Amino acid sequence: METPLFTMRYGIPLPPQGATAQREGCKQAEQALWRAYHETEKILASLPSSILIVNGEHQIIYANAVASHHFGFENCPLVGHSLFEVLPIPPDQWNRLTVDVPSSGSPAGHPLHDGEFETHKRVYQYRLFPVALYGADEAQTGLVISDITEQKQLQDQLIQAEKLSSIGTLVSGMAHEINNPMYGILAMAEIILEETDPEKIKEYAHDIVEYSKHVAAVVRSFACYARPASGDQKMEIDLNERLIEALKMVARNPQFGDIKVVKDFAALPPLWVRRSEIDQVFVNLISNAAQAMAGHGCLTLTTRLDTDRIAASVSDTGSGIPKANLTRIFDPFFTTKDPGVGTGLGLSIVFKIVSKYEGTVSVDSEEGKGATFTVHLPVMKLGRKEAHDGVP
Amino acid sequence: MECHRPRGRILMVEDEEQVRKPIRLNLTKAGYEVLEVSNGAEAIMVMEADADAVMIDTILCDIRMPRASGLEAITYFREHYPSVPIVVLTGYPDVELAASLMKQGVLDYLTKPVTREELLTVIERCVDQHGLFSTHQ
Ligand SMILES: Nc1ncnc2c1ncn2[C@@H]1O[C@H](COP(=O)(O)OP(=O)(O)OP(=O)(O)O)[C@@H](O)[C@H]1O
Ligand SMILES: [Mg+2]
Repeated sequence: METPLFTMRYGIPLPPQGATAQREGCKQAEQALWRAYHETEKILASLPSSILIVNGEHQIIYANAVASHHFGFENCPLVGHSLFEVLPIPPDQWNRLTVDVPSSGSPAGHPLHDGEFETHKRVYQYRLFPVALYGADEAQTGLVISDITEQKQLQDQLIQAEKLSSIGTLVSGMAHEINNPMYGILAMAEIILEETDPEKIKEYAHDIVEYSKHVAAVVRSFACYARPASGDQKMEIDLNERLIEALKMVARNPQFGDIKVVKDFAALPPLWVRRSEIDQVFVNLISNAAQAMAGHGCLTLTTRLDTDRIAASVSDTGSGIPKANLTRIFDPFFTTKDPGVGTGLGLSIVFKIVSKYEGTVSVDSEEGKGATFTVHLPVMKLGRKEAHDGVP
Repeated sequence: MECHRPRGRILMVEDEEQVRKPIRLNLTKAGYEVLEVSNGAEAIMVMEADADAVMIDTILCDIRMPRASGLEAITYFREHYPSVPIVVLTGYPDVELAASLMKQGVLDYLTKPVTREELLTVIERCVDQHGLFSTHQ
């Protein structure tokens, strides 16, 4: 039986047995090793991304050519340096990201953790992967670093364009909303100047008072929209409790009438949020529901806990929403209510706040059959204080 | 007081009572007859109901309204009643929109708040113009 030239172990050829064969084999093995090494190096070097591997002490033990090119100092290899000397990654961010990267094994099926940093006016994204180098017994972590500067700029431009267009919608809505009553005020004053009947004058003056109140209401809600209550710190809240508080605020209004209220609450984990914002969301939803029922009907407040999110819904038995309006109700200034009753900002504020917390708001309604608005909030994101510190 | 035949018939398309009321007062006082509807769809209905009998001299139209917006209604009017002058009265000064409306044949573009004098001048001009082209007295 012929002895195989090489026995493979860990993908590395082992020297064969026997004196001459050994010498001959050794040479071949050495060549094969070099070839393998250079090929791997070449592959790693031609990757468009930088690759670094660091040990448990954050010391760089491997850097590919791109990494040395981008982050290396003149004539000085990266290997041996501390990661934090080379990249402006804040150590606490690093520790948070690496805490649950498994110390060994393949990254398959394991979500890659990633972060960003900026250096020399370029933005980089780094992703972490666990590495188990042969023979090393301590944990090692790999980083793939890609330049995302252009991507980021494009994103910023899109966000800017989006902001501008929503400012445009707001401004035109606001102009319309204010200029209507302004016209009423101006024209009524002109009419009064020429009117002699004291009863008529009184009536027109009364109109002017109402129109002015409307202008004030528009400006007030616009101010709320543009700038959420400042100085209000995040705190731990119980969503069920906030629903009850929001209900109380709305029910104080005499127009609430004799609406029946049903509460169906599940036990919920606390959320780390701005209380006034959450209140704003539910006051808006509950007052819309109350207005849709015009004093009679049943209001149901429900909360549920799914695996990773909280669902809170406000359900009414009121007029419902015609299909044609369903896509427009979240637009700023879309309203079907009389001037002075609604400015049409309520749901757009709800949408804005919920999106900020990375939640969603959805509606289910049919004309004449009431409406249900459901807010979903992510528990993981909002549950822990430290997990949420990054969000404005 | 002697009883005049109205100086002209105006169709006012406007969704807000706070605007309708002063316009109604001003135009009636100036001797016009005013028909009021609160959106584009209703305006189209009024015009279609009986084109001959309605005999509108000028349409005064808001742009931003629920149900068939002013723009849709204006396109419809220009197509079906090209001789009836249209005056747009809007809450938002939008130069591009004004230009495109003028191209469509809208005669005037007023931005709220507008003074009574401006309003009456424009309406008078439109009604006179319509009088020149139409047969009815
Ligand atoms: N529960 C509901 N039932 C029926 N229609 C609704 C309901 N909630 C909202 N709507 C519709 O959506 C429109 C927009 O609601 P939104 O809260 O944004 O403004 P608004 O209630 O009209 O005014 P504001 O909230 O500024 O006082 C309402 O005018 C109404 O037509
Ligand atoms: Mg509302």
